[in-house]
Formats: sequence, structure tokens, C-alpha cells
Amino acid sequence: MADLGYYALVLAFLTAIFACLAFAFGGKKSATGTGRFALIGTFVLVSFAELVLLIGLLSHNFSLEYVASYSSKALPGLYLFSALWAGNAGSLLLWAWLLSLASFIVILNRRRYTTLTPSACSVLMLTESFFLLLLLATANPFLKITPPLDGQGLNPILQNPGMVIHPPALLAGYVLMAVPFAFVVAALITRKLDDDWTLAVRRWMLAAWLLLGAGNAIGMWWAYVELGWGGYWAWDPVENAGLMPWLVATAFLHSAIVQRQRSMFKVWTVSLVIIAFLLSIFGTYLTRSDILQSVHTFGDTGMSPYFIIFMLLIIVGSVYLVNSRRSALKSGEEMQSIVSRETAFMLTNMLLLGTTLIILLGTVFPAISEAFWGSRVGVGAPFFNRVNNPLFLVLILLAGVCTVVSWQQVNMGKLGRSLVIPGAAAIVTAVIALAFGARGWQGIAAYMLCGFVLASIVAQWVNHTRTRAAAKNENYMQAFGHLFLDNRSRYGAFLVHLGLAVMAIGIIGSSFYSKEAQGTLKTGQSLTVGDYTLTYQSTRIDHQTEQTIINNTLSVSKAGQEISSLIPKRTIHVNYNQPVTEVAIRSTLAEDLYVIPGETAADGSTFFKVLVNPLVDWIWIGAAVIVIGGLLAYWPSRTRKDVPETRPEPKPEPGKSHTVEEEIELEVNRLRRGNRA
Amino acid sequence: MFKKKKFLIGGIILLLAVVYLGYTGFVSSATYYYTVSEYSQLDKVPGNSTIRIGGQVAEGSVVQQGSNISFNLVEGDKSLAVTYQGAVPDTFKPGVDVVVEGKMGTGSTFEAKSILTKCASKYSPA
Repeated sequence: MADLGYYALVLAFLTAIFACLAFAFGGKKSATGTGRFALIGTFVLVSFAELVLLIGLLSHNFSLEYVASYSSKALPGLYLFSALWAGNAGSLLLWAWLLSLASFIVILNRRRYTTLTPSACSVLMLTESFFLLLLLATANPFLKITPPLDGQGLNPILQNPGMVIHPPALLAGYVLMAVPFAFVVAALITRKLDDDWTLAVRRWMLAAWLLLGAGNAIGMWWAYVELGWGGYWAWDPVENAGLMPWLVATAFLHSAIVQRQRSMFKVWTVSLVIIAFLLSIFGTYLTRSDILQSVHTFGDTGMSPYFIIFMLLIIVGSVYLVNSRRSALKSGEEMQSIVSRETAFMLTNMLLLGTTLIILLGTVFPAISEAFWGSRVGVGAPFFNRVNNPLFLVLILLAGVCTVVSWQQVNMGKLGRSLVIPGAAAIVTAVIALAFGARGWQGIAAYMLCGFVLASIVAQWVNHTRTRAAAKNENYMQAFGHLFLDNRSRYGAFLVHLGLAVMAIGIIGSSFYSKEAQGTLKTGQSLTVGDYTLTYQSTRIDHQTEQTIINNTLSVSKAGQEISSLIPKRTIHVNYNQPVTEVAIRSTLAEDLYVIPGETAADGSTFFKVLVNPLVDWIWIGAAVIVIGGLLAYWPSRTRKDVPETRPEPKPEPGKSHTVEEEIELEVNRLRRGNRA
Repeated sequence: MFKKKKFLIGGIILLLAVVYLGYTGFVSSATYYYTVSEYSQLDKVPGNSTIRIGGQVAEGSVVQQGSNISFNLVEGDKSLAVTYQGAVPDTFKPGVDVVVEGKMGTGSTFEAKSILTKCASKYSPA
């Protein structure tokens, strides 16, 4: 059975190569003929291999090295499933399978983009064959060993529901970046560089952006509740690898809007897709090499030459293609005003790419310095924070400004009026922050920006709702709902910006205003952090068959009043000669009380580190709002399918802006004229 | 042409700001990394700057008193005494590879501010 999995991968490698060539040289017919069959064949074969590995895990087939290394008989079913991507070979196989699935979906939609699909599929199959080659040459998941009695089990810190979703979400995000890249290459090859490719790419990119964003957020949450060092982001190379393509994808989503609306930024938009794909391949590579020290890596896997050659191929090919199609990528229009939405979008784009470059530089600096100067120099979190914090704050400000300014020429008086409410909100935010004890100009300035953004978005919503309610004779609830349903991508984007500001509030609170205290306590002794006093009550040791759990009970009082008790734990698994610290968190919307237990000595005295992290919950709430906004924008518009004949879509004229508020304004004016007449 | 110039100037200012931030951030947080044997061969021991040293926690060298921990970091036949205060990472134990970050204290003891366990993989069992 396991051998069949291996043979399926060998065959899939051959069909993928064949499909790649058939699409490249078969012309338009290849999308319906041999190329399509080879592509579907690859998908079926890789699916089969994935299924074989899954069955191996579920049936505890320990004659497979992979199954023996990452699962055990006692492992719960859910984690047996997640063991599918817990190891290097398994996660690569998942890459290959997801890519073949994405290619399959592309070929199903071939009738929409008849000219682009063949070349795009050729690129996808080239990438697929690269990953299949990697699997066969360096990380065969079907390697056999003499079966041990039981497997080694899954690392206990990975046995967390977040870890079931986080890796495949990130991985799927990486994989989906391949589809926009394939379409861009197809557009460059066929010289069809009009709006067609951005349309084909937008939803794929949005899906990749959503998955990467959700994957990163879940990773942050997991690090916070499970890793137990009190934070959620450490600027670790692998975290950066997940963040960078997300930032570039964000830049693309904005740049593509400008390209569609104003036919500008064409080279830029094309480049962003290529960079995003490169970064996702680079991220996949980072976790599989030892060029950088990271807590996340699989250790050296001998894949470096393969990845380096593949990335060079992408870079050289892309640079050649973009350069030779320069003339077709000329901008249709010029920038007209320094204060306009396109300028704001351009600035957003430059900042996003700038911060990505800084992160990339900081991430690979140890490797660079070793290559050039022979000494390894690393930069830590202070570097990333110092450089990125100001850039992120300007980005958040822009997230508010973008929603207020209009395309092209801006009516300054109108702009000034629309900035009154957000400006006032910023001042109110500062007053509230000061009242709650926030000090330091950086934190307060950052809060003011968040207040500004939240107010500018809410003010826009109120405005649009009132205008629409008046124009269409609806009540406010209906009007608000219809605005969302009729303009999903725009209102989804509003929600994403709102979520971003909410998330920023949490990040600012927890990074500028966190308090901590630590010490070794005997039972009965207490520790004070901020308004909280924690008293160490007792220790209880549970001896179980699989594990030993040390429970430390602490009572918590705030301002003299006992409010709860917390039980941080340390678990020692039998299979793992390694303790697992389980922090105790008392979470409220205002702040988290976070207790990290250290080792308990024979006399029961225990080391504790206690943190008070303000507003952390808002990070998760903001992330959830971002995901909901993204989903809303992703959902296909209803208006196109439901009302096909009676009301044809107005064709957007190039150079003419079509934002909701302007459309509503026109409508209101029409109604007013009608009343007067 | 006038407008293009404005955009260009704006772009240059933006770029300079980023470079400035990057440079100052780099100066304030760049840390040299050595292995234990590289460190022992340095001509000039960096006195007051934060550095990182990588090596293996020597078997039988870990002494814990309350929250104070001392151990030896070894690589080959070279060894370095390290002290640390606080909770060690879960994966810290004799025999594992770690990277300590901190400063050389008085005498020949390295005072670690943080310990990073360099486990082969968070995915594979320890």
C-alpha cells in the first residue's frame, strides 16, 4: 500500500512534466486536450498519495518512517490528522497536493480566460513538478523502516487546536500565491496585458491573502497561549517569512484597484505578484534550511540547491519577461494631484514594500554578514520594532485617509470637512488614553491614529447610510445592510481597515504598557504587579500514565478584593523528556493577567513570572474582523448573477471614478432635480 | 514636469527616513554571534556589548538555586561558564544546543539575559 503512494508520486512527477510541456507548446487546444488530462491526472495521483499517507497515519502503520516519527497509538484522532503536515515530508506533500488542487480549479474555469489558461497551467505544472521532484529526491514521505512497537508521537506543544489550523492555512496561502504568478507570466507571454489578468488574479490573491492573514493570526494566538513567553510576535525568521508575502499581497490588492480604475501602476502590479510568489517560495525554503536560526525550522534537509536554482529561475525568467514587455506595460494616465486616492494608494504601496524589504534584510542579515564579512551579525526585535513601528503607524493612518479622499482631483474644502470628525475623535482618544493612565508620546500618538481611522470609517458608514436611506426611502438598518450587500468588496475593505485599527489598539496597548514582575515564591508568599496581587497557595502533583502534571494554585486579588484563582501547570510527558509549561491567563477586554510558572523545587517553592498585558483581546477581535471583512470582499457579488437582464451593469469608463458615495450623490441630485421639476 | 518633481522629492524624503530608521535600529540592536570555540579564540573580548554565543549545555553542569541557574556551554574541548536568572525554556536541558544572549560579566562568567533553545525542529520530537 505504502509503495503505491511512492509510485503515485513518481507517476505524478512525469504527468506534471508532460502537462507543463503540453500546455507550453500545445497552444490554445492544450487546455481542452492532452494538457488538461495530464493536469487532472497529476491532481488525482497526488491526491492518492496524500490519501495513502493519511490512511497510514490513521491505521498506525509504523513501518512508514513518517508515521512512526510523528504519531503514536495514544495520539487523539484530530492530531493524527494534523500529523499529516507536522513533518517536513508531510508538509511538502501537502504543498504539492494543494497546488495540484488549485491547478485543477484553474482548469475547471478555463472557459473564462481562454487565452491565459494554457500558459498559466504550464507555469503551475512546472512548479508542481519542482515540488514533486523535491519530495522524491530529498523527503520521501513513504520511506520504510522496521516497524517499532509504537510511534514517537507528536510534540506536545503542537497538540493544540490552533496548531491544527495554523500550518495548513499558512501553507495554503503560500500555495495560492502560485496562481496569480502563473496568470501574470501567462499575460506577459501572451502579451495580453489588459485588465483580464487582474480580474483572473484578484480572487486568488484575496484568498491567499486571507489564508496567510488568518494563518499568521492563529500562529500569534498559539504562541501567546501555548509557548508561554508572554508575547505573540518575536520577529523570528519564520514568522517574518509568513508576514512578508502577506504584506506584498496587501500591496497588490491596492495596486490592482488603481490599475483597474485609472490604468496606472502596471509594471508595479505585475512586479508585486512576482515578488509575493518569490517570497512564498522563500518562506517554504526558510523552514527547510539551516541558513538561519529559528525555533521553527525542520533542521537541514539538503534541499538548498533545489530551492536556490528554482528561485533563480523565477527571478531571471520574470525579469526577462517584464523587461521585454515594457512597452505594453506603460501607464495609461499620469498622476494628477498630490492629494488624491491614487497618491494615498501609491504611498501605501511604497510603505508596504519598504517595510517588506526592511524585514527581509533583517531576516537574512546573519547570512549576508557571514558571506561578506565572515562574522555572523544578527539583528533582534528592537531593530524590527524601531524601523517598522513608524512605518506601520503611517500605514494605519493611510488606511483611514484612503477611505476619505477621492480619486484624481480632490475638493479641498470637502476633504477638510470630512476630516473634522476623525480629527476630533483622535483628540478624544488621547484624552481617554491619558485618563486611563497611558503615558509617553509614542503610545498616545499611536492611539490617536487608531481613533482617527475608526472614526473616519464609522463616519463614512453613517454618511452613506443616511444618504442611501433618504434616496431609497429605507430605514437606517435596511440602508446599512444593503450598502454592505451591494458593494461587498468595498465594504469588506472598510471592515478590514476597521479591524486593522482595532488590532493596532491591542498591539499598542500590549507593547507599550505591559507590566511584569517575577520571583521565587514559597507557599503563602505573594507578588504584586500593577493592581494585582498574586498569592501562591499550594502545589498538587498528578501522576498519570502518560504524563505527570504539576499544578500551582495562585489566588488573585485586585485592590484588596479576591477576584479569582489561577492554576498554571507544568506537564511532563512520558514520551518526551521535556516539560511543557502551560501558562494561566485571566483574560478580560481591558487586560490579560498572564502567569508563567517555572520549576517547582522539592520544598514547593516555585519561580513565577507574571505579566499584565493590556488590551490583548482586541488583537484577536481585530484579526477576526479583518478575516470577516476579507470573506465579505471575497464572496462573489450577488448583483451580477441575480439581475442579469433587467439592469445591465454600467460599464466602468476608464478615468471615471465609481465609488459608492459618488454614485449615491449623483442619485440624490437626480432625485432632488426630479422633486423640483 | 513640476508634479513629477514633487513626487520624486516626496519619494526621496520617504526613502531617507526609512534608511535613517534602519541605520539607527541596526546600530542599536546588531549583535555578533559566535560559537564557544570561536569566542575562545577572539583576540579582543568584547567587554560591554551584547553578544550571542552558541554551544551545547554540558551534561552534569546545570546548577539551579531558586531562579538562578548556572551551567557550562561547551563545543568540542572549549567551555564557557554561564549564569542566568529566570525561567528557562521548556526545551532547556543538558545536551541540547542553545544560544545565550547577554554580556561578559566580571571574571570569566557570561551573564545571559536570554536563552534560546535551538531545537532541531519544533515539529520533530526532542
